[in-house]
Order: sequence, then C-alpha cells, then structure tokens
Amino acid sequence: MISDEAYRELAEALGEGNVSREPAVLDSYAWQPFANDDPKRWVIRPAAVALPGSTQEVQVLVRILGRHGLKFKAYSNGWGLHCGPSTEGVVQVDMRRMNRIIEIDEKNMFAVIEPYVCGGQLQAEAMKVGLNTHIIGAGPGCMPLASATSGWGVGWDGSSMSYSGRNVLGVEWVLPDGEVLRLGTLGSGSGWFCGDGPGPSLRGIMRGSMGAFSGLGIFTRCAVKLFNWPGPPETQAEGLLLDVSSPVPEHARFTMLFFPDRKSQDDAIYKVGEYELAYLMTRTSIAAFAYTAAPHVLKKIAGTSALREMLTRELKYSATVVMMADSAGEIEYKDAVLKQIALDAGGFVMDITRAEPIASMFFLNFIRNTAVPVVFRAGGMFYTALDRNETWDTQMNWADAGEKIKEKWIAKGGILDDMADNPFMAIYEDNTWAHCEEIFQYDPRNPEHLQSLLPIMIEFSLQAIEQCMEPLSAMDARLRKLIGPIMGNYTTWQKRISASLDSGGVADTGFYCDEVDFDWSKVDPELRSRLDELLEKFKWTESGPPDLVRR
Amino acid sequence: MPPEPGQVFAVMAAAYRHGVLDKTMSMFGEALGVVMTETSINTGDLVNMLDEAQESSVLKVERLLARSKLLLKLAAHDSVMAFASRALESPAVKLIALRVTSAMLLRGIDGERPPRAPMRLKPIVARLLPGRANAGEVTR
Repeated sequence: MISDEAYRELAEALGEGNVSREPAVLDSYAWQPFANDDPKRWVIRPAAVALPGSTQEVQVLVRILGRHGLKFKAYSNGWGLHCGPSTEGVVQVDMRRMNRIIEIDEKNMFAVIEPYVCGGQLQAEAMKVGLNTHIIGAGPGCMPLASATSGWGVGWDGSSMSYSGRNVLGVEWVLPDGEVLRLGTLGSGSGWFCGDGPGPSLRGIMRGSMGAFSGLGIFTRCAVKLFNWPGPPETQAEGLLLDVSSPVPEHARFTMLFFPDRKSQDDAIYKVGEYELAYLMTRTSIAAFAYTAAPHVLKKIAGTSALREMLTRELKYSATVVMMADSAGEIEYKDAVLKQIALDAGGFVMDITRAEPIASMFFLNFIRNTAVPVVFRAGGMFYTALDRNETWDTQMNWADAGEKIKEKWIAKGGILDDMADNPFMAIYEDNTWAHCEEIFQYDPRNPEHLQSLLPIMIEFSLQAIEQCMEPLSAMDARLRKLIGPIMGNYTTWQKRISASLDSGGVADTGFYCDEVDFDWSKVDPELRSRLDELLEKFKWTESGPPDLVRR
Repeated sequence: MPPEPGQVFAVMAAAYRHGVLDKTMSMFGEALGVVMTETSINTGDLVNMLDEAQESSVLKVERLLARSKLLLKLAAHDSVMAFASRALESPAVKLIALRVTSAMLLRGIDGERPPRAPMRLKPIVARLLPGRANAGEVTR
C-alpha cells in the first residue's frame, strides 16, 4: 500500500497522469507469466506505478520513496518475472517516457540512449549511418540500456557485436538515495566514449556478469557501442513475421552448416571464429527450428522413426552462419573459406541465400531478431537453463547435459517433446567465448508442467555446479543462500555493495541480493541429497576455494 | 529397408562436394518463387501449411525414407553426384527439374491449402438454413 501523502508527492513531482494506484492498472503490471512457476502467474501487485520523464524526475521519485519507506522496481519493456516487485510496498517505475535516442556518434561508433529505446528502433537509426547495434536473443522489442546495465545480454549477433555487458560505455546512474553517479569518462566530464576509468571501474559493481535487475538504482542514460553495418541504410519490408519479405543485401549470405559429428562441428566453429567469418552465428537444432515455426507438424514427426532419426541424429550437429561483407571480394573470400572449412570437416553448407523467397524471410528475422516470439507457439510458454558463458567446448558440454535432463522430463510428461536437443547457442567476438542455454517448452495451463519447473531448475543447477559453472539460478533468491558459499560467497559481497550504495533499502533487491529459504517439499529428496554433497564438496572457506586436487 | 545411420548425411555431403546442393537450392528457390507468384501465397502461408500438414503426409515421407536405403547408398557415390552435377548444367535438364519441382510444390500447396471461403461457409449455411443447404449444387 502507498499512503495518500506519498502518492500525492509522486503525482506532484511527475504529473497526475504519470502515476497510478488504480487496481486494474496495477494488475496489468503484476501479470508476469514468463519465468514464473507460480500457477497463478501473477507477481505481487505494486503499491503504485510511476512514469518518470527525466533524470531529475527519477531523482525526485527515489527520494520520495525513500522518505516514505517504499521501494522501487524499475523496468523498461518489463517482460518477465524478474521485472516485477518481489515484495510488498514496491512502486513499479515504468521508464517508457524516457524513450529518446540522444545521440548517434557515427565517427566514434556509439549511441547514447534512454531506457525505453528498443533494439529495433536503435538499429533502424544506426543503419542509416552504416552502423548496427547488438540485439539480444529476446528480440528487438527489448531495450539495449536495460541489457547493458542490468540484465544478461546475449544475442546471436555476438560474433560481431559481443555481449551487452561488454558494449556499455558511459552510464548515468541514479542511486537509491537520489544522487547521480556517472560511470567512466562521463564521470570526469570527458563524454560518453568509455565505460571505465580513470581509476577503478565500477562496471563490475553495476552489473557483473548478470546484472542487478534494478537492485542498485535506476539507469537513465547510457552509451552503447555500435558496430559496422555493411548492409543498406534502410530495410524495405513487407509482412510482419513469418510472412516478412525483405531484399537480401548483395554481400550477405545465409548459410546452414552440417557436420557428421560433434568434434568436426566444434573444430569448424572455432575456425569460423578464427577466420572472422560470422556476422551472426547460432547453433539451434533443426528440430528446434521446426518446433518454433511449425510445432503441430513436429508433434507428428516426433512419433515417427526414420524421420525423427534423421532430424535428431544425422542432422544434429549444425550451425547457422550469416556472413556480411563490405565488398564483392570480401564475400567471395568468406564464401570460399566457409566452403573449405565445411569440406575439411566432412560437412556441407546449405546456402539459403540461393533460395530467394526463403532468404528474404530470413533476413530481418535474423538481423533484427524478429522471429523470437514464435518460440511461444509450441505450448504457450518456454523457459531456459543457462550456465556460465565460457568456451565453445564447455557450452557444447552444457548442451549435451541439458539434452539428457530434458529427455527424462519429456518421458515423464513434465515438459513438451521438442526432441530434447533445443539449445540456443551463440558465440561472442569471433568465438573468443560462447553461450548456451537449453530451451524447454511447456503449457502453463498444464498443472504437471508447472509442477515440473522447480525440480527442472534444481536439476539444471546441479548440472551446472557439477560442471563448475554458475547456474542461472544464481539470481534466484531461493537458491542464492545455498549456492553462495560455493561461488566465492558472492552473496556476501553483493549485500555489502547493496548496503554501501543503498543504505536506506529503497531498491527492490529481490533479484539482486535477497535470500529466501528454499521450499524443499516440492523437490525429490535424491536431488536434495546430490545438492548437499556438491555444496559440501565445493564450499569456500575463510582461506579461499576448496583444494579439490588434494581431496 | 530403413536407411543406415549417416546415409542421409552422406548423400547431402556428396551433393555439396559436387556442387549439386548449391544448384538444387537455386532451382528450388526459383521454383518456389514461381509458385508463390502463381498462387499469391507468402512464406507465412507456406510455414502454416507445413504446420497443418496431415498425419498421412508425414507418414508418406516417413515411409519413403524408410524404404530408401539402397537409393541413398547409390546417391552418396561421388560418381553419381558428379554426373548429377554435370546434368544440372544442361539448360534442358534444368528446365525439366524446375518444372517438376514447381509442379510438386503446387500439388503440395493445393493439396494442403484450406478450402476457399465459400466452401468453408457451406457447412455453416447448412446448419443455419437447412433448406438452402444444397443451393447451387448440381443434381444428377
């Protein structure tokens, strides 16, 4: 609940039309089915919603909340459980009024953006000057500022455009006490071009590998790196999604590569990186492509033998590589190198560019990542299991392990049958490092599926720990208390950072450093036992990490 | 006889080595373009048609695959693929292949396309206006 006095102050500061505590409005913010294993699919209703329009308004807002013992949870497009309040007395801060691209610096290749600038919008403007922006896997409707400052940041353009946390430059950060902290060169009055220095960088404090999800303040502007765009300044398109048709740039290639086995695939992917071929690259199984685009027919294929075998075994080791070039000579070189890599690996390349109707549909769906929403088609909902971004080899190990976990749950009827091998993989910076998340799809109306989500999360967490990886569950308050001691007691450090930057406790830290006791009643005792063993084995002590060599 | 593990892959790899895969991708693209223009469908329609494929159609493909062991074994030979590649250089062969592919695609689209609007309305009319159910039908 919000007191009348606090509400009045917010309304005076932001304008009557930019604050609400109407239940219907608040419920529209509290409906968060994505990543939510609660069968009701709501999150806690916010005390109010507030829409600030400037950095100054954000400062005033957080100070009002601090004075009245309230908290804030900021979001931009707000897609997912992690965007909503985690406790009572939280004001949802909707950043949609701050939607401007402040500047595109063509020469130095960066853009300064506000929180509600989406990837599609920024890409369209950047392309006009021969540049492009990293768009995350969740699609062009998501906001680069949020990814850069606060949450994850993987996309299949990572080969050429990296990871959101790597692309963030100067940042304007409103702390929970209302002070403005400017990171990097911005802080010393030298502009937006660098996210670090002079002196120690605070980027790690701001977001680490995953982000604080509004747990350390509200970001009102940031600069993000832009990258070369060898395509046309404007994209012409007809249609919306699967019916979209857009001319394929002359020096672009859409290819699917297939390999006879894992080793040849992995070696080839490393070479693709070494030779700097990929503008965009992903490994997603053929079945996954079919499942997202045509889930009904895939259900029929799942019941076959020879057809299923062909899709899941013979064509298992594959990759989609999009190449772009600035000249005919460059694309010819890339074509030739890719061909040689495939031939050396005993594989083959399907050049989709040659099938113009299909290529013209692929273009925007890949370059702008607009195809993502179809992943909801199969069952209405999906979730994902990540481990730590690391080398390609380790990510393939994660994919293999994830497939086995999924096979078990598919057999039990706990999730939908997508033929199990359904990873979303990407490489960063020409495969310097890589990413894998194992996607699984479910029907949120199916009680059995909802009951499976928690034990599946535990199994994937266990698998990550066994592979010495940080599981996605590191952000989940229910598991944080348990796994902190095996991960350098990161939770202790996060709490210290939170106390230092937010002594008044104004930020909602539910997805940052809060800890909640885990309800083990919903989990198989055998899983609990396995977790306890691992926690004991990998526990850090006062003197540091466990000596696993001697053990 | 079902194919042995790796046979489909071997055929595709051989096709690629000899340039057949590239040529057939181009030809398929051309055929698809022609068909899409003739029928005024777009890629979204195609994907949805594929998604709505009948079980019988899927089983047809399954049966074809299950009986293709010898054919695949033959097709995976370099000499066979080399011949196919040379053949596809011939304008006459290309034209025939294009027409056959277009015809197959068209048959697939016509076979799977949902009935046109008047046909879909017919059963609804029959329920609402029983007397008018057979209006317009030719009686023999």
